[in-house]
Amino acid sequence: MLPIVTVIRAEKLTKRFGDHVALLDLDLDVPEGEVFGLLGPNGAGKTTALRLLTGLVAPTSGRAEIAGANVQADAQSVRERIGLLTETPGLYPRLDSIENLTFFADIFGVENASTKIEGLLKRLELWDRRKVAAGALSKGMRQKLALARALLHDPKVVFLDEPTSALDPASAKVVRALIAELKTERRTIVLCTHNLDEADRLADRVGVLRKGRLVHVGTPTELRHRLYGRATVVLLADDAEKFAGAARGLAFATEVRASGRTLRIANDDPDVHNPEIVRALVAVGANVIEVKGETKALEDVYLDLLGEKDEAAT
Amino acid sequence: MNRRRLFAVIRHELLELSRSRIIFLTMAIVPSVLVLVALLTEQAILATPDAAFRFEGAMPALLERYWSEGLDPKTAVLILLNEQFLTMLLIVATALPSTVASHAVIGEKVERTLEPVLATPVATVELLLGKTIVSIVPGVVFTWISYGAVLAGFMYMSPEVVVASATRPVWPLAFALLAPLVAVTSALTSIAVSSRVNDPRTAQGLAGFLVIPLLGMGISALLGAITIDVSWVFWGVALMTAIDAALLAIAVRLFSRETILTRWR
Repeated sequence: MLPIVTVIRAEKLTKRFGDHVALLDLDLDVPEGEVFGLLGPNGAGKTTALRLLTGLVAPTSGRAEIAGANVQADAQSVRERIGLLTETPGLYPRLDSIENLTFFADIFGVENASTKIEGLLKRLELWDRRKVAAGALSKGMRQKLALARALLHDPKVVFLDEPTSALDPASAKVVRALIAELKTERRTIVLCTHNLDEADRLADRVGVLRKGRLVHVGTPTELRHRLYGRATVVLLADDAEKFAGAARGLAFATEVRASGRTLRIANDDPDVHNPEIVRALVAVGANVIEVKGETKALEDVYLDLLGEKDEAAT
Repeated sequence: MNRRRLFAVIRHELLELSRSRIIFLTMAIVPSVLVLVALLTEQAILATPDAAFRFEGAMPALLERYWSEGLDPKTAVLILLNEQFLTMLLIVATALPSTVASHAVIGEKVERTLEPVLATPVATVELLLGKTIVSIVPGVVFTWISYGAVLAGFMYMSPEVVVASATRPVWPLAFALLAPLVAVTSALTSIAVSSRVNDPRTAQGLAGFLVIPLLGMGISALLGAITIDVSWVFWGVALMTAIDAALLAIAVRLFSRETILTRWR
């Protein structure tokens, strides 16, 4: 097993613009090879966090490190190690794909740049359009080209701001596959996204930002459990209310709710308790059709998290 | 400063510039018109009978210098006007780069292309120097071509003494050395200003103020208050080199990556 090495570290990272607090006391450790999803509504501070972590803006207080290098004091060396996909593609509209990428390859001193560019353009299905000016490419193609630019110099740390936001489903799939591939190469990725399904699929952990504060960090599963607890959902052949009493009699059941033919039994570990639940229900004559652990979509978790915080604030 | 990154910026800016034909056309208009006016005026004077240049009474003050060199009045008028045109051409060389330079930064702001560049290891000095060098290229080249065209015209139609006056060392030296340095001053001022403003016209306007001292010098020379000779050019080169170095340092300080990214929408 490889030792855990923290590649991205933020300590009390804060950014104020006048009276406006864009980010407050961000503490974050992202280990090597992790895909960290940064979620949050517009204006939550995701882009500011990304700019602080990449050294593009200076923090009001706090510090950030990339692979041990301070992003402010060693800005140049940090920039050599990172790849950044910005919120807008920021391509030179009059230059074609190859010209756009060649400029960045030259800046980074990429060896065998033309081979590397060809490989990335083919991987992102842009090779056939390589001679088209970037301004004439579709929004999705521009986004993919910007992603190619971010990966051109083989950065070990990649920051992606909404990588699939402008893409059609097929292109988004290509990009997600590429991100998954980067993960297998043990690259560390920070993924800012509104697409919660994408975060659920790709991110090892997610952080939820709200009004500049990181309100939750954990794996998508941990977030679900933290918010909803864990529960067993049992689908019965008959009205569930008739059997709710038997379920309530189970010592480990913290809450039992019946709805139609479905019984939801909250408990601390469905994997351990499910057999006992089934036995108890069958013993009182229930016909069990299906038993499963409750799974909430990350989207529901996210919306509830933000809603919960809003309620607490009012 | 990393030379690889500087050359990367220069190559890129040249490529961008080559795709902006409208900038070339805009920049070509003023020197072309100036060359045309210079040659048409030259031809008109040459076609005018010598008798028209017999001054009654005192010699006009502007011509006295040439008169004292033993030139006939018509030739003196020709040389005086030619020197005015050449001075104007030098002034044009200072004004043209501000067009390209102001767009080099503000254009990137508008197209939102700066953020990815700022996230690379390119240093501010490499970025600004690269942009400056490329900004002066069209203006300086147009000025050199214009000087060459004027000289060719003079050689074709003017007396030898007129050609000799336009080719005396002070002019080629001024065009070869002083024009690029003043163009750098103009470009750097535009770049420094355009990293703080959002409108290229503001940057160009401020850079335009630079023309005033040069214009003053040109007028002083034409009025006979000063005589611009080779030593003036060398002093000018030394002064402009120092000014350009100071301006580059100021431009680098004024170029705030954070302000550009966060306050410009």
